[in-house]
Amino acid sequence: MKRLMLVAALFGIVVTGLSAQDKVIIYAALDTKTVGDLVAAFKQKTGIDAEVALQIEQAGTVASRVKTESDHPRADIVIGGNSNFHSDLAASGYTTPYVSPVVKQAGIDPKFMDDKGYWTGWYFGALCLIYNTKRYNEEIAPKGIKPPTTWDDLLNPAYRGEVIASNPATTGAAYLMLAAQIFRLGGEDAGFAYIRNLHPNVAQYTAGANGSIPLVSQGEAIVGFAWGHDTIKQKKQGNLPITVVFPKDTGFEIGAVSIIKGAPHRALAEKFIDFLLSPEAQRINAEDGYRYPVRSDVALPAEMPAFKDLSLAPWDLKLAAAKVDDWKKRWSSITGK
Amino acid sequence: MLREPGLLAAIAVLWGALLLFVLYPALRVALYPKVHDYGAILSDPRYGRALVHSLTMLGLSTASATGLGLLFALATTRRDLPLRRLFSAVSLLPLFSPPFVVAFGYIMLFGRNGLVTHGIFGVRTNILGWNGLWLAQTVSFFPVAAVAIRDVLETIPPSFERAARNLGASRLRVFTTVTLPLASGGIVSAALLVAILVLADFGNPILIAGDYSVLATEAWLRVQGWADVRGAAALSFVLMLPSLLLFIAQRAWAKGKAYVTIGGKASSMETEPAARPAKVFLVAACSAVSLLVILIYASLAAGSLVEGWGFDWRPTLRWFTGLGTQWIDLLHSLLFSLFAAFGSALLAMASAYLVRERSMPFARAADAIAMLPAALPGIFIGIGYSIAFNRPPLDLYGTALVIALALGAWNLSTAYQTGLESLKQVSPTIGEAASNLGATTMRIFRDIHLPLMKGPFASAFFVGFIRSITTLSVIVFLQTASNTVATFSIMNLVNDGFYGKASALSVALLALAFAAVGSGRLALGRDTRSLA
Repeated sequence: MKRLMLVAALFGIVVTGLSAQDKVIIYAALDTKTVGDLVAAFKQKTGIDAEVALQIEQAGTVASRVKTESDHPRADIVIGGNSNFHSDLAASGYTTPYVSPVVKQAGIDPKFMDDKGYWTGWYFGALCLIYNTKRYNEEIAPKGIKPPTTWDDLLNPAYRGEVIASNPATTGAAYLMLAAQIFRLGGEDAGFAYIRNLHPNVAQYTAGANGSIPLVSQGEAIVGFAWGHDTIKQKKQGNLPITVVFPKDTGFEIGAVSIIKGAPHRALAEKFIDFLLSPEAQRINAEDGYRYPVRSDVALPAEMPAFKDLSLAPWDLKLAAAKVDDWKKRWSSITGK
Repeated sequence: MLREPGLLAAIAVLWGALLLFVLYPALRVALYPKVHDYGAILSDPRYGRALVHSLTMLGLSTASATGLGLLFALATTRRDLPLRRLFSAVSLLPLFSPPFVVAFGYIMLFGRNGLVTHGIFGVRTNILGWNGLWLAQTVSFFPVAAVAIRDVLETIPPSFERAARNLGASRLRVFTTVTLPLASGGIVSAALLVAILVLADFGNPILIAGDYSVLATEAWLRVQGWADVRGAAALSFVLMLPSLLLFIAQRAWAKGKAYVTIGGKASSMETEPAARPAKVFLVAACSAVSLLVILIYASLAAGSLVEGWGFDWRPTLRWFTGLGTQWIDLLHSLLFSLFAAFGSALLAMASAYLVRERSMPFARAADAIAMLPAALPGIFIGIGYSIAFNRPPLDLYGTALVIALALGAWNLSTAYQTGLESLKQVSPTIGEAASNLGATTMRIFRDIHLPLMKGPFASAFFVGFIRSITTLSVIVFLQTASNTVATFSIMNLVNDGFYGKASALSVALLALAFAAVGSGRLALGRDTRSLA
């Protein structure tokens, strides 16, 4: 009898996830709280139901899901994850274009949008430098070296074996960091020379984008780089002993949303994209996840520096997308990782 | 057979289950990538390096874990050795805990902020890399070798060693010319078992290998970082090949060496006393390893009770009280593992019975399929389930059921072997006698085989439960936010640096696993060999 009940219970869990009515079905590569708040606000504003059928922070897992079920699409929309994932989905024909009227109405900068309309940028994130405050004060400051504020500061021999970087073979963030060096230094050779010079200082290339946060917090290394929004959030939650700096000419991501080709509820999906560009959704995303809004009329949490104070590397989105395989290979041949 | 519709139906169901839940996902992994994807993987130097690293670890960790296993097996079978009960208990601990727990505890002890390295000696060492991985895998897997080798040592009649002594051989000579040769089959077989585990190990490398890449984690990282499912499937397939080879070698070896169990049963005769230097060496080595194992687990427990490991030692309960959604993850672990363990034990017992006792059609093929999961790395099964069941009529991705099914398939082989072993002990003449006395096949099944299979069923259930609740590799590809299990949660907490919470959740998970072992021991009484 108990066994029967167990089986019944398991089936209960399964079945509740399967029923599909007239509601927008969402795959989300964002944290639980942000997604929950967005869905609740959407329902309140439009009266339309939304179901989160897949939610996990790793955008690669979400994009993979869209690919593997492309002949039977179940979801309408993919939210979150940087534009590279969305460009990749578009290039392989897994998504369809939509240009929201809100972009024009709200005067959102078109540089946040795919020029063919396949994906809509609705938030923005920048890479930051982080350093272990205590170890910096004890080991680096006495040598008369100022706290790191630029990428070039990481090349200082004082940081030999004390830098945590990440690996472009396993995370897009590392690729964007590499691209930032190429774009800010004005060419591939100069960019890769930077990587070669940084290499002796690197203690470890982590697999994930934010692997440096715990390692630097625990003093495994002195300095590293990670996503600014994730770092600010973890620092606040964990009261981490680190200092966060957005360096000059930093790399960045555009967080995007796309409509899946063959979406069962396309009209509702379009409404959801319009909603993501609304001041309410933009505010939720900034407050829950410290991600920059693409609108200029949304107040930021106190921990975030103003968008206009960020210094971004000059960027060529198309070149960065075209060179993925080339640059990853060249990076790997220099670092041997 | 045609006269028995029940039997026919059972065979049909069994064949359906084997094909659908074992063979189909495995074939999907092999066929999902295009030729181009295999080419891309093989030509990428990163994966060449990962393969070399995997094989390096295979050699290092297998040798060290098997060596340690041999020491522990010797120490725990010599009845005159002090502390042997302690050694035996310590060598069981890692068997019942997620493999990565060792890596995690090791970081807490010896990392840059480690209790021993930084706290006591004031040095900051970098353990992330192949050396840390080596130690973590050695500690994680030596118990497997210890159990396997002990089983063989116990079948060596002490009278052999005694006879050699009486004929004037020195103790060392007895060991090298009698004990070791008789145990060699068991040692090689244990080494091959360990090798399969090392190759498939996902949890230790993901936590402690740093940027020393190994094949078992690359497939998952490929999906995480670049959403490349085809590449990941190709990588999983490449990882599966050496695993399959090792598995075939292990089976062939075990079969060929079956004769070493000459006496069959363990003898009650006292074992020959060991030479004094040998005793000192065994006790010293095993004590050192035991101390390390105990420290690892103690640091986990301690880590869950202090504010900040390495920098703030004030006691706190907040990591336990702060486990919010993680309690639900633990509940998921419990439910999925119960389902998987029950399902795999049931399917395995039915397969063993039908394959061995009833001339089921294509019995050899069914046997091979039921054994297949033992050769498949967890990551391979995970990715197989994630790409095999995502279209109607079996549209299961993202559900709890797909996780439970994947775990069940992964456990099938161990359960099936348990069932076969128990049936081998039933002499066919019993069934024939009953049949001659007029019993129907149904009656023979009910009165002879069914009672005999209760024990193996229970032991398969408990082993399956513990394997399921502690695995990471099988479930990483199947996790979504609504059905997260505890091991996945712990991995993310450790990787994000939330050591306090990660320790608390690990302690809770260990408590659950140990409770299962405890109830398993109660339920099975004396026959707990299969649990260890």
